[in-house]
Amino acid sequence: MAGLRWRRLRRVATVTSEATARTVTARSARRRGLLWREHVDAYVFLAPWIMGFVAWTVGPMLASGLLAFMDYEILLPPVWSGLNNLSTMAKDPLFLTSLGNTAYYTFIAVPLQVAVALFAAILLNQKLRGVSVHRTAFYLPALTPAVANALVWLWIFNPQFGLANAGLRLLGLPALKWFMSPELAKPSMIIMSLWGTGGEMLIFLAGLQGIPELYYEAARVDGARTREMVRHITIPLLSPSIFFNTVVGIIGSFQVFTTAFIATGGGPQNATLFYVLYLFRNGFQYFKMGYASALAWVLFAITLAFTLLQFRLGRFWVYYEAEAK
Amino acid sequence: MAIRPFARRRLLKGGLAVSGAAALAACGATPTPQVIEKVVTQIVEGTPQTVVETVVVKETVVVEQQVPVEAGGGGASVNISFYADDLAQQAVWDGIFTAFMQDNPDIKLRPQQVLGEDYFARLQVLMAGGVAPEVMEMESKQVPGFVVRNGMLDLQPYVDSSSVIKRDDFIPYQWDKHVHAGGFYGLPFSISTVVIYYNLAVFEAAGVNPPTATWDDPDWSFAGFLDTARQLTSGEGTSAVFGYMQTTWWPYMFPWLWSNGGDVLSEDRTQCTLGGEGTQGALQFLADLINKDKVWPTPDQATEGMDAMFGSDRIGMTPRTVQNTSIMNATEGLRWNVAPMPKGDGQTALTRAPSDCYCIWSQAPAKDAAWKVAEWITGPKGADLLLKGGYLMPARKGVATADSLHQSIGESINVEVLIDGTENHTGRQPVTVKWAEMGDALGSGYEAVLAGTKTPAEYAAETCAIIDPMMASIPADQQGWLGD
Repeated sequence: MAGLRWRRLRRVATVTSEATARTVTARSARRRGLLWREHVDAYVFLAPWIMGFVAWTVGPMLASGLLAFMDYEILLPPVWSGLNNLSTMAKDPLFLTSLGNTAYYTFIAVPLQVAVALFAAILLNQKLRGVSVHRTAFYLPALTPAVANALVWLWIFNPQFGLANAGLRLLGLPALKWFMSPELAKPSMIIMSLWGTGGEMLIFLAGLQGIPELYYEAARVDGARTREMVRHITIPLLSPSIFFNTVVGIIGSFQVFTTAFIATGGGPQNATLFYVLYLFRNGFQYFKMGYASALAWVLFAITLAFTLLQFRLGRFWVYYEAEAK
Repeated sequence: MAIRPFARRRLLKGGLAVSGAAALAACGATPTPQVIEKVVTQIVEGTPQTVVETVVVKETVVVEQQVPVEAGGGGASVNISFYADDLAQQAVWDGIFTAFMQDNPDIKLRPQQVLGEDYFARLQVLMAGGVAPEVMEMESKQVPGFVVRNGMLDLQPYVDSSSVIKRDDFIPYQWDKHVHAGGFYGLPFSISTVVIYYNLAVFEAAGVNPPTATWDDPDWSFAGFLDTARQLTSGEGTSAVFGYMQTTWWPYMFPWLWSNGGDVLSEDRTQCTLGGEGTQGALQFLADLINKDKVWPTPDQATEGMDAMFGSDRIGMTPRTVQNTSIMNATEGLRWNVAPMPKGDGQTALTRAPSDCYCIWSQAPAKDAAWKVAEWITGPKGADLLLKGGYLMPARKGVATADSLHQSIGESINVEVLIDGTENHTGRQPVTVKWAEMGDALGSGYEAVLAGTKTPAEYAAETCAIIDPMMASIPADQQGWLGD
């Protein structure tokens, strides 16, 4: 009897486990099918962008990588020249001038932009009446086209009739030549760049609003002062935003072009001849597209090196809440 | 009845289905839905105009689009680029194109106005992309760079068979500057001779006699010029009047260099000669006008702009071209006249007279029609209309006469200064295939000399170190251009 019961039980168990296995297999097959279809759907919708990216970004990048080793005068077929463009660069005084101008601009403008944007974000994070109007006002210049910005600032920095010198005269200070002085042209560009920090400010504002009020309340209970709360709560928890703005700011600043192209044309005396402006001249005014491509790849290498360095250094000061530090 | 939720998958499927249907409808040859087109066409006296075309699809969908309508009948269609700085200049060109199409109804002209300073950069890209205008207005000094890269058509075979265009009909050097290695690449049509324009009110206010109208006047020397400029200079701040001002754009240093026996390149264009005695003297003279004699305002004293200051009686003399006469004549109350450039230590006073020309793209699809356009515009009819436009001096001989210039730019103007200057007192800008690159190298240091932050000797040393290897890198077969 006992043997019969055992056999029945074993048979029921076998049947049940086979049925379960069939169900599981069917379910996972259906899931795989669904996953596959989701992938297909996703790629169908991504296809226009991917095709554009390959055709208009990856393709030209690869082509320019090849052209960097060629003499290419645009209207004539390219001719292989090996490392000639790089050796020309080493002897080109304007390459160094433009690189120096760009480094000067980047390493002064970016920290200032981040500081100004952070300061503005902290001010605009206060619970005040009409704060959204102020936020909009601070962000609006970031939406203004670069050409319009440049023209407005040309007027502001006009030595005779500009707003900047009118302000200086009111304070009893001597008028400055701004864009017309080789010494002041780059600082003028840097001041001008602070006008458009609305984008960074918005990122800081979002970061600030993501910091739980709980931390500040606990700090207040412990007797912390505002300065200490900024230093020990706000800055550490905002460090990912600071990191992001710094990385993106440096990449953008290495490519500064429009303001110099419109406002100064690289002058006076090459004081604002930035790297990309020099690259543009070589590629489109001197018939040296091969050399311009080499310049572009050198800039890419410099930018990449700085970005990797920042990621390396970021380990020491960027705090992510999700990470165990 | 159960309501099915609006799932993402259904949305995707729906979207794809609609897209597919739209694509099929667009590609397929299905006769329905029937499209009924109603095109509003308007041809007015050969003038290219833009009208609105209305397309009605099954009387339910209306699409509006801008359609350019050109005059002329069927046949070839030719794109042509042209410069015009303002509406008045644009009107001159509109008139020329209209007249051409009336004379040549078999050719449709599609004018493309050149906007912005990056025209030559754009032209390169358009040529590389195979969509450049067939006929293009060019600065003659820019032509060599395109010729050596096979961008321009050799026009010599067309000239040889033309009854309208002959070398003898043009000022010889304006023709010859477009010749290279047996080929001919640009039909000259306008000359921009630089002379001194002076403001009569400034002279009268200072009690100074107007300058000479003769190129060979021995009193009109650098010293005489400086003396005049000093007498005209007075006042301070925003009401200050300055005796002289010129653009800081580097080609405007040439008349001073040449008139002092200097130049920037050697005769054969292989050596930088900025360190030469005549060049150094002229550069120092120009720098002194700003920094020592203070008869030329510094850039921060002249932010209104040269034309505005000249028009408001704050600049006594300024070197300009005929192109500026339309602005001057349009400035209310401005009384002006012209004088030659002064002479330094050189043999004679010289000025620059760069020209513009019409070239044909080497890959132009309708080369014969393109030639017909260029031939007509630079021929007698085009030159006559250009002169009547009042802002350009035609390069054809016998068109810019004293009478015709008086009619076009003003009865009281010393037009002989322009004519004599163009024919007998013109230097050659040292054009090479690296003109733009050389210009950038010359320009920034020249600004420093004018600002007084570099001596002419420092400028020469630094700039020649860049220019000498640049000139050495030009292959022999790309050298030998006459100059502009």
